[in-house]
Amino acid sequence: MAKTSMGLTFHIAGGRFVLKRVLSVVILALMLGAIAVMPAMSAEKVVVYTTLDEPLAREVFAFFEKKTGIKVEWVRLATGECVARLEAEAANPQASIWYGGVGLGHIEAANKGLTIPYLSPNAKNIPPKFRDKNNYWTGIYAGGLSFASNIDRLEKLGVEAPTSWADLTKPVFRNEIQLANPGTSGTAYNVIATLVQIMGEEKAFSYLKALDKNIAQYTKSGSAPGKNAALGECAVGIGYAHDQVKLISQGYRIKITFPSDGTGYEIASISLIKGGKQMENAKKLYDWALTSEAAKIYATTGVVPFVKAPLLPGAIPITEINTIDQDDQWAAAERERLVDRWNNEIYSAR
Amino acid sequence: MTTHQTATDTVRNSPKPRTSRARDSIADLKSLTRDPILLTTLVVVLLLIFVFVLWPIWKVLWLSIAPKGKLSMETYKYIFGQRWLARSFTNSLRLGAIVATTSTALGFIFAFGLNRANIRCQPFFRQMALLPIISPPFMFCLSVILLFGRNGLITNKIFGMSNFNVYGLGSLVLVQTLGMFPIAYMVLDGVLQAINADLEDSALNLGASRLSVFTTVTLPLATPGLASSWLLVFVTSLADFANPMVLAGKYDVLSVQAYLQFTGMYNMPRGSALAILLLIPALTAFLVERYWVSRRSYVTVTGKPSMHSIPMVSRGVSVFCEVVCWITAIATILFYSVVIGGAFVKLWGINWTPTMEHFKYAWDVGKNSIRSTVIMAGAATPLTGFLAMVIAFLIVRKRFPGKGALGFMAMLGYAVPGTVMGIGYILAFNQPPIVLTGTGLIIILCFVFREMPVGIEAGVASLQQIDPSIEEASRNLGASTGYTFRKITLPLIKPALFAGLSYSFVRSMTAVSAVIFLVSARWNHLTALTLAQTEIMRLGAASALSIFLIVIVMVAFAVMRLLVGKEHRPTGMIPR
Repeated sequence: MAKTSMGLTFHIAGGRFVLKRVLSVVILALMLGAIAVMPAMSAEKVVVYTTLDEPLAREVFAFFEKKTGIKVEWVRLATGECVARLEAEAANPQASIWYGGVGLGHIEAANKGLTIPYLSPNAKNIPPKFRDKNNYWTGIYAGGLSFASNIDRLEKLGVEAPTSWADLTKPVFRNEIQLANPGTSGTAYNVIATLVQIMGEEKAFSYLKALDKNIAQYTKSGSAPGKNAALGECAVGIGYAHDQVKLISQGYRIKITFPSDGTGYEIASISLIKGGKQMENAKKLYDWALTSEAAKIYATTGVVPFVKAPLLPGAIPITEINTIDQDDQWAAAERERLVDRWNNEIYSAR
Repeated sequence: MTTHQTATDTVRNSPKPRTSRARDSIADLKSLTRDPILLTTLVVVLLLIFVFVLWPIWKVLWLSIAPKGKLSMETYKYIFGQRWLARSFTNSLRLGAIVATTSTALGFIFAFGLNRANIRCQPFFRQMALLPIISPPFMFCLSVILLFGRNGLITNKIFGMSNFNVYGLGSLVLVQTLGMFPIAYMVLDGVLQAINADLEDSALNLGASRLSVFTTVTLPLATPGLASSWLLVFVTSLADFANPMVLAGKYDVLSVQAYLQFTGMYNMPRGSALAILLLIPALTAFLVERYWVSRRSYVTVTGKPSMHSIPMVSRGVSVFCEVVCWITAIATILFYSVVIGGAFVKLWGINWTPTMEHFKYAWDVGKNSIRSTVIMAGAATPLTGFLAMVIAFLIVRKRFPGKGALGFMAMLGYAVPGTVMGIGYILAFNQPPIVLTGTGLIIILCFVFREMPVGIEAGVASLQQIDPSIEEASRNLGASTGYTFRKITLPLIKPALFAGLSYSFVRSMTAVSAVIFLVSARWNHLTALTLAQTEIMRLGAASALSIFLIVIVMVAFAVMRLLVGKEHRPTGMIPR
């Protein structure tokens, strides 16, 4: 058909067939839509939002399912996306538990009234420093802030990997360091909060100003600097150690160092979601998440659980790093002010 | 020059003077009551748009003007007080305008080259013009970094530069243009196909030079298409956050800031307010386009057969088109080869050992997501296409009060950033009367009402070229509105329908920003999974998932061609 100059006429005649096909497809589409509305049939289940990395989440929940017979329906979301989604869904929460994700996010969720307190019988396994005193959230593993250096790029620059915050301001690292934007990334905000807690606010900001000269780029996401160091986009990326351990296990040439003058850390946590539909099962999952059985699985991906478990090579227990006495409640309360100050004094001046 | 005259007459033929407008709309209302099918259709369409476009957006807007449940302007006061936000706003506008212009130009060169200049390798270029939209947006960015970054394959390994800066406006323009010119191409391809070749031929026969035929016949007649595609790309670029998120460097744009207010600062009111700001330039552009285009007439499809007998362009122009097409195609292939190559080696840049393990892993983790993605996109696509054509028909052909508003409202869903649409859908459909969260349907509906405007624009642009008298003839002979739409209009706008369908399918397959808030365990999305893989730098697995996606889209295109009917090209030409 159609190769003729009379194509138009032909088409008018053929219109009916086109329409029949279009209509039948539309009807089929409506049917598919109808299938999509039907609820999942499963008696014992728990709906989970998780911020664990995809492969880790897969393993953790498969293990739990096998052990208890409770079906875990999980969706993976980044910390910020999860809080946004919990807030938007607050009128009719879809999930019952938030598993993993940066501690500051869990504090934020608790402050917004999106989660409820729960004292798990297994919470005693976790040092009090790593769980909420009001029991809104409980830590499952920690990762210290660290420097991920690209070994080849360091060789080219002829320097050793940085081992203190001061090292980062050396002129040799001009345009060679990446940090995330604290206005957009919890990781980077943790860097600022840590520095303020170590040096005091004024000194911390003059340090950040000096550091700014060496920053090639403030990335949007907190894990990007480490990834970019892995790709050789910069010499040093600042981020959480367990993110960098993963890069090493993928085969990237990365060296992880910690600032000897003290560093902050993140507490990956769990919280129960207010108004969740499967609270009983969610509590079972919560309790299990704090056992050494679960900790063993976390440890396989390079993170350092609070409950003792064999660690992956390269992973450094949080107790062996010089960590500061971090006050997350303070950090959450000061966040907006400190970020605004950083935006106005450092970012806008770039 | 008679031809010149004819063409300009057609173009400059403006509608009725202002004074009779009020009387017209009363008459419109009366005629509406006499046409029950039209009335019902209109009511249904309006209802759908109200529920699935306006309501979710209103929910988000409400967040920004009433952060704590009470009306308050504090959010906007904060926003207007921040210098860096003002900078983001102008940055967004500049980027949008540049990309819209370059993409429309490139899309036009492709469409012109393929429909008029008779360049070689046409089937190849037709594929190449669509390929760039088939891949998750962040994979494209990753390719740019892997090729042109400081340690990039081309910049560093070939040219030995170790400090090449890929981040900034330049790369954004490049990546967005490559990624978005297919939108312009799809609209313009339909439009150029529909321009009656007789007009150009007779102008040539009467002695007009090729250049003057182009500037006085072809180009003016393609104006609605050019305007539509500029608008669509402009809006797409404003709302895009995946590319600037990775590649912008210091060049902050508003869509990213909005996303980050939601997810980085946990501040929903501010995120909403920024997204609402983003709507202003998008909707202004829309209004200008409608006003400008509606003052003229572009009718050239009159029901008479048409066929080119004289080659329209000189050798030089044809070569130019071909060269531009080649450059674009090569750039596209280059970026794709990173995605494809990455799936077959152990670790791009570090360990080049060939392997198939990524495919096995990707299939294991991805098969459920792939199934649900295909179901959702497959359900959304025909609904989008059908609804878009109906709305385009109503806008161009029918007279009813509030017509301008209809197009305007339909456009809203496209113009807001995906994040906003996603959050709006949760807010709107998470409590009675309509509870859809956790289902696949909420994602399908989000696709339909977000991607519909491309189909509408394509449909409007091509309907404006078709002489209403063809339809009038049908109605005078006793056919109803519905019958005429089915038998006359639909077949004539088939290329536009196809463009709308294929675009909505691709977007449904690669959508990420809206979907991330709507996915559930059972209804997960392939792109969300791919994003999660890039998060942990499993680039091989992400590449393998992207390849699955490309294959699915290719198959779907073939199926759609089969269902909609072979693409018909009315402007047959004598081979060179």
